[in-house]
Amino acid sequence: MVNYGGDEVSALVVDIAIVSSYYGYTANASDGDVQMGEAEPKDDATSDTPKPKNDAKLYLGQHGPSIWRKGMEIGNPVRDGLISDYNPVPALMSHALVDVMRTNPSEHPILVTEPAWNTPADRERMAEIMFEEFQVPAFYIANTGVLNAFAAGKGSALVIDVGHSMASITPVVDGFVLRKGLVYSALPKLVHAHARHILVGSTQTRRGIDLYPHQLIANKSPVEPSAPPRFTLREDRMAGTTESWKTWYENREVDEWVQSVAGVLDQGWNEQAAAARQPRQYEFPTGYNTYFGPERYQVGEQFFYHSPQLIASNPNLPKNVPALLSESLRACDPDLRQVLMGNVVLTGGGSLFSGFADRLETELSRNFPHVKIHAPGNPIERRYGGWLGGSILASLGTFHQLWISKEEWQEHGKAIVGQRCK
Amino acid sequence: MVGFRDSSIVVIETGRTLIRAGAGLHELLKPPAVTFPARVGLRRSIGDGSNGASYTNGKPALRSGDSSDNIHPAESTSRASSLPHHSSPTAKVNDYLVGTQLDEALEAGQDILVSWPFADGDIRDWIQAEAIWKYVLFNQLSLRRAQNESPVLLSIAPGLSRDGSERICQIFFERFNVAGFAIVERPMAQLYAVSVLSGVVVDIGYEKTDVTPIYDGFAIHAAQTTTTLGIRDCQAYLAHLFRSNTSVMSIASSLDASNDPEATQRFLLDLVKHIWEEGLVRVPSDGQTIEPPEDEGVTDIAAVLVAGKEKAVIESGLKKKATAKASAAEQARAKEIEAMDLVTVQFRDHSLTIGKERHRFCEPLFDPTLLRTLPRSPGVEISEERVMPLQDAVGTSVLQTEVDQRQYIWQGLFVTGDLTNHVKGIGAALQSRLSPYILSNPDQQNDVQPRSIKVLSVPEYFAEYREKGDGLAAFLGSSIVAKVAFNDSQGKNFVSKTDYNEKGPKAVIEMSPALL
Repeated sequence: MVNYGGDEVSALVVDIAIVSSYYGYTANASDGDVQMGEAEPKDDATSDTPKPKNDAKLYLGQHGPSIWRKGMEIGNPVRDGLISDYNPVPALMSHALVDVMRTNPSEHPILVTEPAWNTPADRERMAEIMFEEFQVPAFYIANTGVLNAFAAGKGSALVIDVGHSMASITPVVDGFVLRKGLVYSALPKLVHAHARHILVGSTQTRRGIDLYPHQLIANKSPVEPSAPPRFTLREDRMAGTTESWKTWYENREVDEWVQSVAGVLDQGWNEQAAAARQPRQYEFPTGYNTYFGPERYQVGEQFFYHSPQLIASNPNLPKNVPALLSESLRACDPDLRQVLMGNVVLTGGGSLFSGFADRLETELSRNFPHVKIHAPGNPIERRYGGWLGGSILASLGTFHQLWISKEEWQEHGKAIVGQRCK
Repeated sequence: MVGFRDSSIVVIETGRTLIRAGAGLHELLKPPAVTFPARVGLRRSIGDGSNGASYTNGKPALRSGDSSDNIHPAESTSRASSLPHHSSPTAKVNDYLVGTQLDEALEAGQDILVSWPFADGDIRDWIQAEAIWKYVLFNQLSLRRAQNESPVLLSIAPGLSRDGSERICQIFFERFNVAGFAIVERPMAQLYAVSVLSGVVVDIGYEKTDVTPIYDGFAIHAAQTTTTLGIRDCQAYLAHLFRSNTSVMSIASSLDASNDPEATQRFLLDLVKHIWEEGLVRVPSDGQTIEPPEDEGVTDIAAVLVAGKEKAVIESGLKKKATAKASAAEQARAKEIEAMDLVTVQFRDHSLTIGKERHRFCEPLFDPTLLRTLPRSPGVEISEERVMPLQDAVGTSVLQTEVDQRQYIWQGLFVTGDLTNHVKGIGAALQSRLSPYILSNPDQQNDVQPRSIKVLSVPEYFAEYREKGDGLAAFLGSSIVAKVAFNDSQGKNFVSKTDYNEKGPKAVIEMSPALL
């Protein structure tokens, strides 16, 4: 990978995200990325004294949620981009830093990322965990919007970050977030729900599709396209499968389907254009396979356009990308708008959705004369933009005066976090 | 900068339980000259004694951050090994016995603490590691520290911390005075040996099996999986099966009159080891048991053998051919034996007849629940709750990678490890069990999902490896990397002495073939 030039700090950069968290050193971008997700098996029904939740056995990382275990529940501390449950965080951090990176956190300064809408209490809590539990020598918490702009090599940018559960637009000017222009919505969740609806719901031509994961299927035999699947379930496992594990895995199957076949038309919704595209065949773990035609483009359309019926039926509908854009720009000064539109940075794993960048370009150039979109072609750069920017920031010589050192933490306490990390 | 002479290049493969090494690269890459178990021994007197100077030439050990010990999740990693490890803060490099010294000392029944410093897929103890490498270089390969003109290529477990790599680099330059140094990760080396850049490497070791998907020349560390299954489990299983073989058991019990169950178990394990190392084991490609050939109405030969009735069966078969001539009867008998797949093994001056049950050797890899029926015996701890079968480990591991990478990764299923030196067909057996993870019908119009799995093996053109099987892939791949890296006069892929003097240990991070 690229060498970002070097200072001697060897800081650790931790980017906590909903699907995966990625951890690495700065200076040279060596990313050891770690599948995240944690799981708590329920107490055995036979044990007489139910243990408190904190004592539940955690399964993290590689041998974590993706493996079937009897009675295992799946949890995720991140909700809507914010950490909602701090209990598993130290264990997750320890897994990433000690078990996977094989480092001793007390020897490395650590830079953590936060979404732009993080609360002061949350960042103080994170600082507390890092200083008190991991004994880090120095700490800094940086905004993903700013870091994504840095990763694209820009000081001012309009960062469009489409993640797994949240889509946000952050105007960054000279390295600072314009708070009033910050907008976000749970749009990717809507897209996911729509995709799931397409698969699970039955249509005139096919029945709803079973989304059983590999681990619950004993055997399957090949069937013709669109024929009912022939498979047997692992009855020994069905009983011990928890609802949350099943949901988690079904969502994974939906995600894989989305990544494999779904797309968005680059010129806006057009029945003929969608029908003219080649249908794609896809096989599910049950062995069921079929061709997906225009419906695979309806999925992506949810990012940009919501039908009036949908809006009418759901008052809390997450705003789509054009709505977010106009809201964000309305809040910015008119003379800034031109600068921002010339520096649009598209980032986040969700933006890798097939055709997303082209469609965004169409939507933007329809309303603005001089639009320039920076969308890295390399999926790694797109997905780990926040981490990459953090890595660049932490290896800048001028950044080192910003670290909160352990001594400062001990002297000033929590207040220092808000003062230092803008 | 001047390139190195091929004859001076040293390649060291550091596996979990085995060290392989060789000096000099030849036109045809040669198999390793040195092979010995990756263990060290410490005389108990020294281990306990407080004879002064501890190792001060490096950073403090990384693994046990005492501050973070108490916040480990309950089950953090399956990486940790059950092989013994004793760390002594006072022992020095020269206190450790390695290789033949250790073998002799153990043979002589001395009181020795044995440690396996690499068994975790990490380095448990730096001094022990140094002792092993030192033994390779200066004892086995007869280099001289003062005039060391050899560059060293070290292959080691993937995912070492950067500090770990730097420390290795420091040891090789400052303690061993090497002329140049490079690190390559073992799975990468193994895949290079089969000449592809994307694939999934399954490395079956003594007690652990590592599964590493690799895409386009980069190991996907996040998707790496380790399962606690290995040769040890296979041996224990087959030894258990032999207990129902009367011919084996009669000899086993005749050996020691004392009827010591442990001695019998040891005898069985040694016998099993002998059998698979002789290459007498094959792996049936599908199904949990061997398909017996439809012959003379015998449906389950394995069962017959297990019941110890093979003679009766052969005789009954012969009776059916009683009308044939005498010579034909002879042939028929030979054919019979072939069909029954009986082999006669010479083992410790005994001649043992062993049937098809030997082919069930690898079954535990695909179905670990078989191990539950085994009586617990010393040295064989049945692992805790669930152990992932090999096919599940490989399947989940590949499912952790990106959707669009998978079809390329499935094109390179490579099974390696010591077992594959002698046992053929594990790759094919694994392939047939992995079918749930690929399309059920390869003719689909589907350019995203994987259609097929391709099993790889070491190419024929490595003449020296042709008869050796796939187990030496890590050494072969390391030799290839050594040849390429050290012959590059620009020297961007190894650390030369000059680089080390300028940049220090961290040079290894930017100048190694696999660490970036």
